[in-house]
Amino acid sequence: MKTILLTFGILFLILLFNKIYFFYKKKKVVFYDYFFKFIYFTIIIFFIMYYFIDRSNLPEEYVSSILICYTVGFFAIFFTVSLKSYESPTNFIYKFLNKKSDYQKLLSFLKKKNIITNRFNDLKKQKLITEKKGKVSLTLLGNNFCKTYFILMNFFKIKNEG
Amino acid sequence: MYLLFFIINLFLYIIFLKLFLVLFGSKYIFPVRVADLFNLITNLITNFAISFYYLNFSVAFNVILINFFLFFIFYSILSMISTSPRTKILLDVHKTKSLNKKDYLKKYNTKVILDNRIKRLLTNSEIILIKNKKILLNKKKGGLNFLPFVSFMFNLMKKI
Repeated sequence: MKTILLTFGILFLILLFNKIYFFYKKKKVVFYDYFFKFIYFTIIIFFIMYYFIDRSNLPEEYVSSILICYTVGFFAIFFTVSLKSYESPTNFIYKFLNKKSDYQKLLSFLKKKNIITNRFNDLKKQKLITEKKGKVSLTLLGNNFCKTYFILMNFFKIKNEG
Repeated sequence: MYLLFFIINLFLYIIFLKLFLVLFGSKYIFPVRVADLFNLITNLITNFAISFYYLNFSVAFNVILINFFLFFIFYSILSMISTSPRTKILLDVHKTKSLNKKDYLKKYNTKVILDNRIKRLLTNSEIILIKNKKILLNKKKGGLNFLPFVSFMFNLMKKI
């Protein structure tokens, strides 16, 4: 029971980090900034825990598993972060269909949300693309992301539809 | 010892996911792929049993959480690849090296995004499309309606 509570306590730290980060950033997230701030946060937290928590009764396997749980848990939360900045088109569709049902009106409703323009702007903010005189190209970071995506797409045979 | 177990867990997760994707393709039990769901169940049973037998209950409990996180991570990555407009833009820029934004918006625009989502929502009868003019939420469908659930999850994630 004590170990289960400790596991939830450790996972709560990720949520705490999220709350602190977005309290200051006001939902304007830059992924690499979020990632590096989390590493600093983790170093501070583990430094404190190293000195203040008695680990003598905890089995070594449990400590290893909780560290991995913390890391994997962070990556799971990391994937929800973009939802804080932008609403999903599916969610827009659902909200619209709760009130109206006309296809053309739904299309104009979505056009007003500037979905693609907002995505282009976000990709620039994340330093994944650059734009000069209407020509868009990838940055080195963007290129590395794409290479990873292509490996995953080829391995899992997933199509990219958008 | 546990690190080795985690590497095997991760390896099993990826291999089973590949296997289930081959078996079920991109069939959805909206909002998740059937393959994702089968993979989660298989990994929960397999890895929980191994960790409980060889390690202890505390570790086995963490293994359950880790597999739920892996499920969410892989679900997010694969969904990002197949449905995210940002990933689509990135991959299209990668294919052409330098992309003319004005021309691109003629091919990939709000209408394409909407039609893709309608197609996906129709696969699990979440909506009813009437003569390409009207779209209705399928509230009478047997079983569960997942679209409200997805909307709820989106809102919950915003609050986390």
